[in-house]
Amino acid sequence: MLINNDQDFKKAISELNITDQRKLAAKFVESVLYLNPDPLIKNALEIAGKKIVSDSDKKEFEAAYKNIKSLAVNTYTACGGDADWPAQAAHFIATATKACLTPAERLDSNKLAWKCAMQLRMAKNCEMIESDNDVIDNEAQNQYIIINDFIRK
Amino acid sequence: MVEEVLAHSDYIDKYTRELVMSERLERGLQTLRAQMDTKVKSFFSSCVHCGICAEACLFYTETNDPRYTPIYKTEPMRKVWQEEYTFWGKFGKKLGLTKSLTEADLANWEELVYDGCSMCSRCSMVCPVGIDIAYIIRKVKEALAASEYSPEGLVAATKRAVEIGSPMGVKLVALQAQIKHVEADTGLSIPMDVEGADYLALLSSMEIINFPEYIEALARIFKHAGVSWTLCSEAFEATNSGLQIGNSVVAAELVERVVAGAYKLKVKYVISPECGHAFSAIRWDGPNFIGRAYDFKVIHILELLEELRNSGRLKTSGKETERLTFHDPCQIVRRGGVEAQPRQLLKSVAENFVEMTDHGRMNWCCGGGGGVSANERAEGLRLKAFNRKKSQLDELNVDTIVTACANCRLVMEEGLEENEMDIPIVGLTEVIAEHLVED
Repeated sequence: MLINNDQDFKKAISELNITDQRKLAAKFVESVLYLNPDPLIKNALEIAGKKIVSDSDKKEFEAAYKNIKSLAVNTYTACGGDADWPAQAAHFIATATKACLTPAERLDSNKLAWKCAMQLRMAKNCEMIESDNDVIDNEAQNQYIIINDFIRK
Repeated sequence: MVEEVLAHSDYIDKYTRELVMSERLERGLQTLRAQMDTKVKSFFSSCVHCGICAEACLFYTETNDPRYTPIYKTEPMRKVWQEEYTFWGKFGKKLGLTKSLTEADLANWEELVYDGCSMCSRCSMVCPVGIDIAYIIRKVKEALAASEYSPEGLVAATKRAVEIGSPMGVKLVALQAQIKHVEADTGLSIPMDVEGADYLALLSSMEIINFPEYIEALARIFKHAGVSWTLCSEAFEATNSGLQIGNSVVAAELVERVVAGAYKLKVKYVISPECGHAFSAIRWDGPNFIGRAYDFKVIHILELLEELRNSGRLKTSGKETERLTFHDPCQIVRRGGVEAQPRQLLKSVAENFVEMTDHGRMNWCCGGGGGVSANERAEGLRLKAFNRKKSQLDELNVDTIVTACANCRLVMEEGLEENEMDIPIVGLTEVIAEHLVED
C-alpha cells in the first residue's frame, strides 16, 4: 500500500521497531541536512543508524544523544530575540535529530520517526519564510516517498 | 533659629543637587513621583521590614544575596516616598541628612530589578501586611525605562514590538507561512479576519517561531468542539513588551492594537494563548492601560478548553500513562487566577499526574518571566535561580513536565540542559489535542 497521507504515514511508522524507526528518521533528516551543516548532526545520524550490540555502542549512543540535545536547546530563538529563520531551521533540524536518538526506555519512542518528521517540516517552513517563497515545498510529500522506499526494501 | 537652619540647608541642598542632577536622573525622579499612587504610599507605610518576602523569592533563596530581597528592589521608589511623603524624610532632607536617589542608584537597580526579578509575585503572596511588592517593582521599572536604564535586549524587543508588531520581528507573512503549512498538513483551515466570529485567538511570537504545533492544536481542538474563531492579520501578537520593560505608554499602544482588531472583527471573546505576561497584559492590566473597559471578554486558552470539556463539547480519549507534573506559569496561575482549569484538563488525559510540593498559586517561578529570559546579561543568575525548580523536580522524579507558557518551556529546557536532566516538556494545549476523540 502506497503511503500518501499523514494517517497512513503515522500508522506505518508506529508498526516499525525502534531500530528501523531510527534509520527511517535519519533518512528524513538527511534529505534536509543542508539546513544545518553542523558536524554533530552528521555524527548523530551515523550513530542513529547503528544497531546497539555492546556497551561501547550504548555509550557512544548516549554521548551522541547528549550532544545533540544540547545543540537543540542552545539553538532555540530566545524570548524577545530577533527572529532568524535560517537559525530557527537549523534548530528544528537539531530537534529532529534528537528525536532520532530518543532513548528506547521512553514510552513515546514508538512515535520517534513521526516526531522527527514533524520537526523537519517546521524546518522547511522556516526556509520558506526566509526565502519569501509563496510556494509550499511540502516536505510531507518528500517524507512519503522516503517511507515508501524504506518499507519496500 | 529653625528657619535659618532650614534656609541654609535649602542652599546646600540646591547646590548639591545642581552638581549631581542629570537629565536621566531627573526623568527617573519625575516618573517615580508620577507612579507614586495611593496604593504605593500605603504599601510603603505598611512595610514592617520582616524580610519574609526574601524567603519567597527564588533569586534570593538560590543566591543568598540580600540585595535580591523583593522589598529591597523597590528602594529607589521608597527613597522618594520617604523624602517627599513622610515627616522625618522631609525633615531629614531639609537638613541634608538623607541620601537622596542618585543616578548610580538607578544604574545599580537596573540590574537588580531586570535581572533579579521575574515579576512572579510570590513575594506579594507571602507579605503579612498585604503589600503587592511586584506592583511596586513594576512602577520602579517605569522609572528605570524612562531614565534609559533598561537592558539592551528588552529595549530592542520593545522597539520591534512597536515598529513591526512583534518583539521577535515576526511579520504577518511569517505567520501566514506557518498557517499554510498547518493547513497543508492537517487539511484544516485556519480562519483569518473572519468578521463576526465568536473568538479572536491571539498568538505569541514564541509560539509562531518555536512551537507552531500550538497553532495546529488550536485548529484541531476548535474544529472538534465546533468553536467559531479567527486570527486577526492586524493584531495577532499577544505579548506586551511595554509591560515587560515598564513602559505603560507602549503597553497601552500594544493593547489598543488588539482592542482595535477585536472591534473590527466584532468578536465576543479574545483568547490569550500559552504565554504568561500576555494574559496579565490583555486580561488584567489592559483596561487600566487604555483607561476604559472592553466591549468583549478576555479568556485564557486553558479557561476556554476547560469550559469546552466541562460542557461536553471537547471529548478526549486515552490517557498518558507516564508520571507527569504541571509547572504553573506565574502570570496565568498566581496572578491570573487560572489555577483549577489546567489541573482538570490534565487529569482528564493523564492517569499519573503528580503535583510539585509548592504548586498552584504558591508555585515557584521558572526564573525567566518578566523579561528576564530576553535579557542576555541575566543568563547566569537565571540558571542559578532555576536550582529552585530543579529541587522541586528532583523530589518528584517525573517522566514529563507539562506547562502552558512558551517562555517557561524554553527557560526550563535550558535549566534542565544546564543540570543534565533529561525530562521532556510539552504544552498542555498540545497534550489535549493529542487525545481528541477522532471524528
